[in-house]
Amino acid sequence: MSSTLAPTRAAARPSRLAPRGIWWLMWRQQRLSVLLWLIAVVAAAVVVPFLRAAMVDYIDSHHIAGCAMITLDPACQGDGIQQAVNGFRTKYTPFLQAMGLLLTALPAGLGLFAAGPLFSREYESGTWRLVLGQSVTRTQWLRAKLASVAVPALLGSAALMGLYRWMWAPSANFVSGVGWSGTFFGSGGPVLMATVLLALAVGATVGALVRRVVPAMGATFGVVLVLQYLISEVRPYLVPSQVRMVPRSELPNDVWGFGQGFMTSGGKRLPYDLCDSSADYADCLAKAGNAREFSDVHVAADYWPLQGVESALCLVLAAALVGFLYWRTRTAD
Amino acid sequence: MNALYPDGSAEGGPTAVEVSGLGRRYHRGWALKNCSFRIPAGRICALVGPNGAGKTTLMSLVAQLLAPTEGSVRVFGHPLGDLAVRGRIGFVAQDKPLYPGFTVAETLRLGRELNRSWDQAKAESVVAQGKVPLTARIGTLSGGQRTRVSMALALGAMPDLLILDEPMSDLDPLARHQLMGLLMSEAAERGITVLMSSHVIAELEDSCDYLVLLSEGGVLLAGDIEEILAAHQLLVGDDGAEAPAPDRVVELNRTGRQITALVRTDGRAPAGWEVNHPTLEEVLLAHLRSGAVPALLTAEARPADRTVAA
Repeated sequence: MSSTLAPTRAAARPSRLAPRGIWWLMWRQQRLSVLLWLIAVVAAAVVVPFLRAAMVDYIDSHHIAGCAMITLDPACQGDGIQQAVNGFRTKYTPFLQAMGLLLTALPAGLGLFAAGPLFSREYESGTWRLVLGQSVTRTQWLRAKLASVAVPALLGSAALMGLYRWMWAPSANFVSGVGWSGTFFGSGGPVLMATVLLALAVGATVGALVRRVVPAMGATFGVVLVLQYLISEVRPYLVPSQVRMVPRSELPNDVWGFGQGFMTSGGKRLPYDLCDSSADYADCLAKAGNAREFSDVHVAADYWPLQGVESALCLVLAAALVGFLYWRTRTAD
Repeated sequence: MNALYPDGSAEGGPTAVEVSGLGRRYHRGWALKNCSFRIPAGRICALVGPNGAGKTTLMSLVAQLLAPTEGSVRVFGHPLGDLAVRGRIGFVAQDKPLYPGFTVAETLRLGRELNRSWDQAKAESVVAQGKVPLTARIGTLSGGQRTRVSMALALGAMPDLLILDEPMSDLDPLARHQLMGLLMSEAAERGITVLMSSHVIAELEDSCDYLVLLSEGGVLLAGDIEEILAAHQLLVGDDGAEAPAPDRVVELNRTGRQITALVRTDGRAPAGWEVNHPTLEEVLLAHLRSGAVPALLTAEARPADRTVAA
């Protein structure tokens, strides 16, 4: 029937790699976004090795590997070590913190720009009826749309996460003062990818419900930030923690102290401000069952269990949203 | 095609669209309620009704873009959601949605990539007839040109049922004529069924041979246009004339001593009346104004009673 295929530009490009069917449409719709995303990832991949090389060079030439600002480590007691660590922090820590913050904001950003408009634009402009008016089922369309943002977002954020991890490693916890539990936690591990997927699921779902581009984008951004905040609030309790009978300010840099207070010799927990209003501080503590200051901590070994449980939490939430989206797209209109 | 008639001799031939008890409720209320009718295959059916009558809702339901709240739609004998029927329905929505950033060629490619059957030559000829360049971006086209690209997309997919929601609304008379000609030749060539809505009755009278009249979410008339016309009489008389049975009266107008009544025919000429043949417009308007008469479905427009047949 279509033996008289006219030489349109599209038809004149018979490549095996060229996407077909609905994947052609997905590529046509996402190609500009994917290109911009690729540029951002490539730019990071170009810049990060230089930064890392400079950091490694600084650490090696000043012999400060593993040294913190204040430390009892005999290897770090030499002349000028403290100044060198200080110098490193002035010079390079801002880069580590900036990239960490950018990556922490990445899920909300991808949710806002990639996932928020994904369905809302189709509904707002009515083009969903154009696509579903062809021989395409709702499920096929939904799957292709989700994959068209999830796959590039996942690959790109994995690359950025790897780069950040690699850049952080030489000065990890001690030299840079950027500990595993801070900005690095959400941006230097698999949690980043899981949060990105959750943000995309939020954006797609909000867009399919709100059906207007700008409100959908705004709502997605807000919901993702709130979710990220809530997740960071429950994070310490995702795996069992330990108690150290040490004030939080005296914890080593690779230990994450997230709670503090006073504990009686019998093990009873008392609030941190227990004796704040008391005239005789020591007396007040003695009366409170010889209470001593303690910290709730996660040690460095808790990093992977925490990453695992938090990733799983994000993925379960994302899967629930996608499931809802499938159900809703099949039944509603 | 119609499972109920094993010999294929359903009233009026095989069925394209069969709707029974169809209803659709939105948040603000019922847009369509208890709709039942049938369109035999190969007919050019006009869907007529005032704004808000439920035309777009009905078309979206038949095109499987909406899910019914109640009742059922069968297209070529297949229930809603059946994959076998997906590729056989073409739909051009009222606002002619297209991707504004795509070129015309890319829009046609969308049709080729997303349909199992595709006639590129036909799609391109529809576009070429309107002198729309293939390299133009959709966003730069006029409303009429967008309609043409939408039609090209719909016809290129070689549907057996083509659903057009207000297809001619933004076309000039020449383009209207061209597109109707295209539809007619397509219908003659491939025997497709067309369901098109409009509120310009004159536009439909020339090209359509079948009619569904909707008002306030319900069917008032359905069937072959000739048959519907033959089923009505325009009576002119005065006070002395024998009153027609009230259930036959669609509309009755009194001007001084003269009475004009549009009635359903019952096979005899009532005494004392001058009997005229109403125009389609008169029949439709009388039904829309009165709305109180029972719906009239011609024999071939009645959906098969599945419970009895089974």
